[in-house]
Amino acid sequence: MRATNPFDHAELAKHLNVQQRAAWDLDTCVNWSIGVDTSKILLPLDDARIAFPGASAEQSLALSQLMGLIVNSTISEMEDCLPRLKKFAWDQVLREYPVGPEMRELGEQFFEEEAKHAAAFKKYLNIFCESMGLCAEDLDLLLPKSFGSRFQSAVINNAKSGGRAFWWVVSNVEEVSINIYQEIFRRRTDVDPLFFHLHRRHLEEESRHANYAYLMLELMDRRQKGLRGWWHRKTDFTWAQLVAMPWVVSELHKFFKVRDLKHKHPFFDVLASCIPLYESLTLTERVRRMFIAAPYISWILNPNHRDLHRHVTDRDAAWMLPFPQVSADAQH
Amino acid sequence: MLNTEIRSKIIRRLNTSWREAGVRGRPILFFCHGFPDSAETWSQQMDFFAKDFHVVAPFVRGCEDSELGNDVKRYGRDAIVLDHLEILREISEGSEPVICIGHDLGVVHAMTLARRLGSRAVGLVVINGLDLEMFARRLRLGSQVMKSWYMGLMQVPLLPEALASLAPNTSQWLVRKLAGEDFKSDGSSDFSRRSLGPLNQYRAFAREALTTNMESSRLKAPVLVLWGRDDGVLLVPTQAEWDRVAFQSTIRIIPGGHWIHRECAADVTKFISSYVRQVLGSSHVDA
Repeated sequence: MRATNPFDHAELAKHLNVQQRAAWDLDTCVNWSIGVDTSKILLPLDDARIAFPGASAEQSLALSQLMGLIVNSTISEMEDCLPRLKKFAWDQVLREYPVGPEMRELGEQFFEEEAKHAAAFKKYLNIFCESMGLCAEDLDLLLPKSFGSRFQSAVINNAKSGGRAFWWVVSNVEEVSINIYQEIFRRRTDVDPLFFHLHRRHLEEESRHANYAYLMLELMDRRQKGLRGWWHRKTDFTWAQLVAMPWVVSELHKFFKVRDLKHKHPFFDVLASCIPLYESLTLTERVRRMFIAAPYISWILNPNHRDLHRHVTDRDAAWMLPFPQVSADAQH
Repeated sequence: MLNTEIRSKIIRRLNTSWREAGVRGRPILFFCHGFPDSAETWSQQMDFFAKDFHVVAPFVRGCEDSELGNDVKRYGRDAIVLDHLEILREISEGSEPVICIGHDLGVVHAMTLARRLGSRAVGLVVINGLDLEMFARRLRLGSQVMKSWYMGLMQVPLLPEALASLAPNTSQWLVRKLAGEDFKSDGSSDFSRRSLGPLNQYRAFAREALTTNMESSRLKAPVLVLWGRDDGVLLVPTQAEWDRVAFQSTIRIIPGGHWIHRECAADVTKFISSYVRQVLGSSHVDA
């Protein structure tokens, strides 16, 4: 994080300048022409292959590719829904608690970049389908779709009451997406070059604007006084977890729809053959993997994986659900 | 050090004084101070802008050589704007663009002047202050009423005068503390003189705020609002408040109290300078 004080106008102006100068163009700054190398993985998997221990090389490749597309789709869907929440969670906050023109321009830049990232990940998905010979509509059935209306209305209602749950969700996604890139970078020679290149571009802008969510949280923390401010300071983090978690879990559950698709394409056949591996896990082990051990999924579901989040929630003494602790090795 | 001269003129039968500096014929920056204060409050900004502009800062009635009015109405915004228009007639040809700058109660006068000047007023800078109608609307907010309790005290005949005369240091401390400024005594006799004279201005403001119909025309000139985040007497404004009174307003919240133009003079001057150059355009600035 760089600028952390929303009232430091000079620092915000510098920050804005850097972001505007370094912004990349969706069409010209990503080499889409190299296409997708379907023999390569998209996301590195752990030893237990997320929750499919004992998966063969062919199964591991398919799982890694699906996991990569799920991560892309999750980021894309979350970023795609930002403009819909912009009015209540951002514009109204800055109208009620104005700071200065730089803070507003940084916000505009933030939303613009997020919309671009969502478009970039969608474009990748289409190229992947073309390269694999997959029907995009079939694959869509397995991927997270439209950040549910329940989630949206919960966050909008929270924002309308002066809450900041939206910015906790955004900061969650920002921090996890940076961690995901670090994981991809460690195995970059095994990863599809276009996927790596796209996430690198994504990371560049995410790391430049990652602190915007924290600036908004800081602003609301400083300006919201009284009982309402205290209540939102204490409860909004938990509220953000409570509304995002069911969405993540239910969208992951879509994986089992692969049973209906298994005769449509060999990719789906391989994925369907992984289901018995998951079913061999005990319920305790499934829950442990979801919240503690499985990379990517546990990072987003369990706030104990997120250093920056823990630091800010500790500082604000925000109430947190008792998520299981993770070992130091598993933290990012 | 303020490199300005004090000038005065009889305006509508009362001696009226102001500080003035800079180059005649250049765009005018018209500074309106608040209460309890005087034109010296603008010393850093006047010194800075006098190099390129014509700067002027009137003293309110009862301050320096500006004579006391004979009744409270003489301190009202309609009476004071006539004084200000007369000062402008005295110091200018009548065609130079004017940027009005106000702090505290001075904002009421700066905004009234900007409205009266029409297209000649090319800008308005507001520092921790509100227009009368805005303040009247705020009296519906419990939190603003709590912060403005002292205004009731000011309405009691003779009581504030007695306090400022008998315990000037305590009165000054109270005023500064209320407004969130670090207390540094700048001379008790000076404070007593500065605060006693213009007290009726405060009374006029309160009476007008309580009787206004809360309707005011929207300013066409762009408005820059600079506001000390930790102001102890006025709540930080919302964008909606300024949208009601101006077509175009930019709000900047600065860490500081009620007197940010003195507490963080360099920052405030920089923001005003950038705004002035923006509204005047290069032709006026580089001439």
